[in-house]
Amino acid sequence: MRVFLALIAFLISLSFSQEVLRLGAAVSFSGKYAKEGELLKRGYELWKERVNARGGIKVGNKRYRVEIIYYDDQSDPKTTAKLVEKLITQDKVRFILGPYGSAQVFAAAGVVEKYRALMVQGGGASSKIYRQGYRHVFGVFNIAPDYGKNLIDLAVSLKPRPKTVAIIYEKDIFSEDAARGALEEAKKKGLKVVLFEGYPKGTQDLSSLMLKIRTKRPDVVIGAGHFKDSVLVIKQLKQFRINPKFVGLTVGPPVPAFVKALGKDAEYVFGPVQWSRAFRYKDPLFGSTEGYVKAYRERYGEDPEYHAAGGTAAALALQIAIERAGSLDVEKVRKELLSMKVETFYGVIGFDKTGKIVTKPMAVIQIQGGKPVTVYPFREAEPVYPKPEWK
Amino acid sequence: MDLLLQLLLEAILLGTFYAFLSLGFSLTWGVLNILNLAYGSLVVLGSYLAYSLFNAVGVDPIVSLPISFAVGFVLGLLLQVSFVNRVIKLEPFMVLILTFGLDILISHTLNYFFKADIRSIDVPYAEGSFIVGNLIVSEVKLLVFLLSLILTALLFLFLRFTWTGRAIRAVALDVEGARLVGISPERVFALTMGIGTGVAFLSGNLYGILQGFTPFDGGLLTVKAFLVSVLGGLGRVESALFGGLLLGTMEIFVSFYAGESWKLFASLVLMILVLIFRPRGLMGGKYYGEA
Repeated sequence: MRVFLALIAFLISLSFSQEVLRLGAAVSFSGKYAKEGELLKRGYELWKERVNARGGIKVGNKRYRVEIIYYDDQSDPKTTAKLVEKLITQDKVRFILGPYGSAQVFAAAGVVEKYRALMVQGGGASSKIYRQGYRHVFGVFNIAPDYGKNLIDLAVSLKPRPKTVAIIYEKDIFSEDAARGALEEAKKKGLKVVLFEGYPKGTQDLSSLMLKIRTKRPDVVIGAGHFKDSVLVIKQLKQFRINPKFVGLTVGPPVPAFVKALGKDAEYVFGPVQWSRAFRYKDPLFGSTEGYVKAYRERYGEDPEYHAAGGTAAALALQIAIERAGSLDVEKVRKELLSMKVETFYGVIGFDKTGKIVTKPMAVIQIQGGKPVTVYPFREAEPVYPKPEWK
Repeated sequence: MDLLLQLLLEAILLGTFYAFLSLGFSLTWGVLNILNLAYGSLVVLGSYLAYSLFNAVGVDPIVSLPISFAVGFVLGLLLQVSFVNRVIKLEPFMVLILTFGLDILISHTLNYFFKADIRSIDVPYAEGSFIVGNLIVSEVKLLVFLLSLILTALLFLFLRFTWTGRAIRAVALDVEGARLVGISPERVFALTMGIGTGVAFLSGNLYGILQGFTPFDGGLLTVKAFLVSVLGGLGRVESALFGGLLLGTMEIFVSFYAGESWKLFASLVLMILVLIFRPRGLMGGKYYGEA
């Protein structure tokens, strides 16, 4: 009898409890991209908590509480692909939040497309992701060539105008794209490219590249790589006493860990950002960019930067599409993503038919006084240029 | 001209480290006649030991050198007594498989505890550089160079002038002969493995100071140790120095003039050429025994 009552009580409680919408993400918690992966997860988590606090995602008349299943892809694209497959086939997840890193996103995209699931990602910026004709993959990051392009655009807008540039890059799809973006823009703007050279992934000593840069004495040095590369580039530029007027790195400068790792040597380094807290937009979930920054600060005790914001924005775009579709049908949600053009804390989100975002600007920050400040195209502060010599 | 001198300087600094790195490998090869495929992973293990001592206990990576050697020595002894001695009399393949397995075990254990993140031991007093004439000298490279040189010299003197060193060379030259004059080859084998692994740990310690590392650097380091041993020949400490400098020069010049990506390719081509035309190495005598 008791068991029977308990069972009834359990069933009743079930019928009152909310239904759950499970999303899945394979993100790097270890390996090369552990840092960025953790930030991305923070972005997802902040969105999830905010949505659940508000009563969950509204689909038609029902409200779904959000849960996110995370797996660690160890920064290895092959692992990402396996884990995304597991999410879709075993965990029965239909909506995937993207991994961090272009190669990882690229690997995940193939799987998502194969199973006709849907992925919105804020972790991969390679243009290659959008050249495959995939229909089920959307991204909120400006594509990689914009990273290099924006740095050059800022450099040539400064006085005295720089004349020569050296571009070095890590050989992975994102960094190579970013470097090419810089190369093309530099040529277009009449800068002389004195060095354009890649180095293999995982290289931990750039001495020979540094010697080359040292002999060419460029005004501008652009480094395209990931976090660890950026730290290495700055350390070795200093070690080899190379003093260009402008140092721009595609990844690294906006992350607080960059300043922590380099201290004073991080000063005046430029870096492009997908998003900056200097943006001023309205937002349906957080009220505004300011509101988002405040919520993030309350939750994590530090200011958000673009990795986390990208994660939140990707999840937010998915949420808006689902709510507008009023359905959990992948095809209907996809149609809403294609037609959306909505203002969020992150900028206006709208996609072209390949799935990449086309409605939002990109900014450049400079480290000043140990903090990244936005100097382009919105100016939180005046850019410091030419860069003072290493101390 | 300045540029050439600068490149040569870089080559010498790096090459000397490679020479020391390869000593443990070539010693066990020369004396025990085994190829230790786990060598690189043992080096990386040494890097993580120094890293942990530095970050958890605050031991300076130079101060931790003797600790590295001691730990490596004991580990080497244990490995020899408990594993290698059991298979060394069987087919040579068995030792290869054993050390190959060991390599996987070590790198994945490190990955389990430390994750795949790139770690580095940052000594604040050697981050900068100084200028001599038109040359720029990185302090950390100079530091590693000097330490490598001192340690190489110590090993040389040990092998040359101590009774134990002589016993090791005797066994390398002729196991049966050594037995006849009262040397126990088994004990010398264990001792050599201990010293070899100790040297691996020492060079791991230096490697950690020199650059960032991950649990999976071992394979490449084994290749480098192998290259140096093959290039110089398995003869003497001097051959390792020669092989190390050759590899260092090769790497520096190829990565400067052809690009970083061609480094490994060029080294391997050089190795193949040496194996075809001078299979005993460019300077090799017969094992460590010949004076």
